[in-house]
Amino acid sequence: MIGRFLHAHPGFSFDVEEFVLSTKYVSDLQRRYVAFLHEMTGEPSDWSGGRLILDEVQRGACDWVPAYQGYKYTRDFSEWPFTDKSAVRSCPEEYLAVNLSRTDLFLKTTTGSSGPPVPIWHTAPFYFDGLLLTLRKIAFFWGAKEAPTRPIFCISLSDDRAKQQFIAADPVKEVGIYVRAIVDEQRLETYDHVLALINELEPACISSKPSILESLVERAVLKPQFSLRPLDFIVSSGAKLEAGLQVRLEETFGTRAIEAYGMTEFGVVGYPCRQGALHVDMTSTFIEVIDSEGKVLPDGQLGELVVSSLSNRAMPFLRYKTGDLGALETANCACGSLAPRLMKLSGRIIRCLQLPSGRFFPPTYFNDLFVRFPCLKEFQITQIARNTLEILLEPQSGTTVPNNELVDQVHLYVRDSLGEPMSVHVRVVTFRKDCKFERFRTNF
Amino acid sequence: MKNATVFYGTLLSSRRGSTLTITKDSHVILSLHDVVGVTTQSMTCAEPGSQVVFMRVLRTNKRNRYFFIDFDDNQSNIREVHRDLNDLSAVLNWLLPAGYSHRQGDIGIYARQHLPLDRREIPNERQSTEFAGLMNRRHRFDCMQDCKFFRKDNRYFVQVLCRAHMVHPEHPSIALNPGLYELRGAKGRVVGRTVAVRSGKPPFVEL
Repeated sequence: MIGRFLHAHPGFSFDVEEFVLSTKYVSDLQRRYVAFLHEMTGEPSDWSGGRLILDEVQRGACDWVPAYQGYKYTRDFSEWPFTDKSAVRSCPEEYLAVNLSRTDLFLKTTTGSSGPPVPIWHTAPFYFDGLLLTLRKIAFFWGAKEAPTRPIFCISLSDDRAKQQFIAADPVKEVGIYVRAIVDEQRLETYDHVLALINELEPACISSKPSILESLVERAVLKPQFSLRPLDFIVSSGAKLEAGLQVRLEETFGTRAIEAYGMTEFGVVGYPCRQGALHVDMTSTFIEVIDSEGKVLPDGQLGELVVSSLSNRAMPFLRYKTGDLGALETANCACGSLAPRLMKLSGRIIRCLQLPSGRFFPPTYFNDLFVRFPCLKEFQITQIARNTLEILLEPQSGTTVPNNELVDQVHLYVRDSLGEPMSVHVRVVTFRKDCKFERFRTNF
Repeated sequence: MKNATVFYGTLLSSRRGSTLTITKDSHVILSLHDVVGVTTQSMTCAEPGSQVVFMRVLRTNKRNRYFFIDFDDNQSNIREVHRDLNDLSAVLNWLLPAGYSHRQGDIGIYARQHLPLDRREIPNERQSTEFAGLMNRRHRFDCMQDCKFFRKDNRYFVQVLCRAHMVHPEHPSIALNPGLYELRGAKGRVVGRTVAVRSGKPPFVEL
């Protein structure tokens, strides 16, 4: 099957070495899957007060993580200070378990949705769980019927042009092939290519972030020659899926669009159920909701989500402030799962820019500004009118690049990337640290 | 020209003609050309299974390179040392000054009576960062609350208040009685600290 796929689609690669490596972790992956099923659909363990994580830390789970030295001697979860993203960003090695050889780890970087990307090291079991198990867990928990029977399990869409298209195979052989396709806003034919792939391969699901799904819907509507066989489901993640887009996706593709919540540091931590709720993965995470002063809030109250997880032993995080807003609900869900639910998720709303022609343009396209301009500490893009963008830049302290040079180069890059004439105003600022930061905004 | 392969714990020294390659955990960490000879001198250490080796790589035009290797069942390290050194005992004296009360890999621990006058006390939460240049975050103290840390420029001190252990994932831990100690790092240059890192693929669910 893999050979046939590669022969028919030469733009994709398959990493044989990584596949062989993944087969060494089959029993580990199966154990994680069974634990997930048990906790999410059966009688869960006592999750309250972060007891499971506290027990593990007291047994030495973080002994080799410099930032968490001495935590094993604490008696209460709430004694641990919060872990701030900026601290991880300034010295990620403090959070890396020093007893593990780096040659055994996988290096990833955060997506950069809430600041410059941070290196995150994954152990092999955690990495393969995230790569090859997570979508299977989503399919099972949500109740996808056809997922295991289709030869192609998923087509996942990314706009990260620095990455390559590839396929991966499930070492447990429970689901079909995973396909990763790259789309490029400057080459709309890449969306047509993806739609053709969906037609040809008939995957169980497609998966991407909302801004890309929005462009895909727009393209699918413009190309009525595509007659798509209904997908089993669509997964949206990486940012908030808004109701309007959800309806358009479901109408266009004739299937349910569901939402998952996660981050590179932890993998997916919120799994959707049939009732439309997001259940917390109790096997790997403990979530608290805090107010602006760090006080833990009761059920149902909106605040910042704080996540703790030991699932990734290379870089575990305790009481990690995510910057995302939401509430926690522990009352039973109609779906039957006793796992707590994430409600009112309101962080990470990323709306597409709308170009003068009416075309949608995912602003996450510009996340690569950090790669193109390493002297950049942060930026913010706001569409203030149909034909006008305002871009605010904050350079790294101590950079030798003159501000006017940076402004000129960013202006040039953004203007040329849009593909349509727009006024782009760029200036240098210092962002306030005391407010929730939104990198991409629309104010018109 | 000789061909030879020798294991030093997890290090593999492999000579093919005039090329010497040293690999660690299957990663090439050193490759030398124009090699005309390799001599070694080894010694068994007090710790069970632990050995040290002085390796001299002789090359054309006197571009010789000398290395110190220490290894046991769990770990191997290789460090480049000065080319004026003649034998293993000279290397050992050069790496760490004599007089240490304990040694854990490349760190010597010396009992001291006094702290330097203008030392700086390092808060415990900053210790791993401040001492990272010396301890590489892999040597650490098990009971931080029983220790006080000080630094003066490139000199590092620990005052042990209650019996504490210095631990390392690969070396035996060392018990330190209450007292004042200076920590000194071995001279020379670690070979192969930067190793290849595997890049993870993006997940199929956007994060």
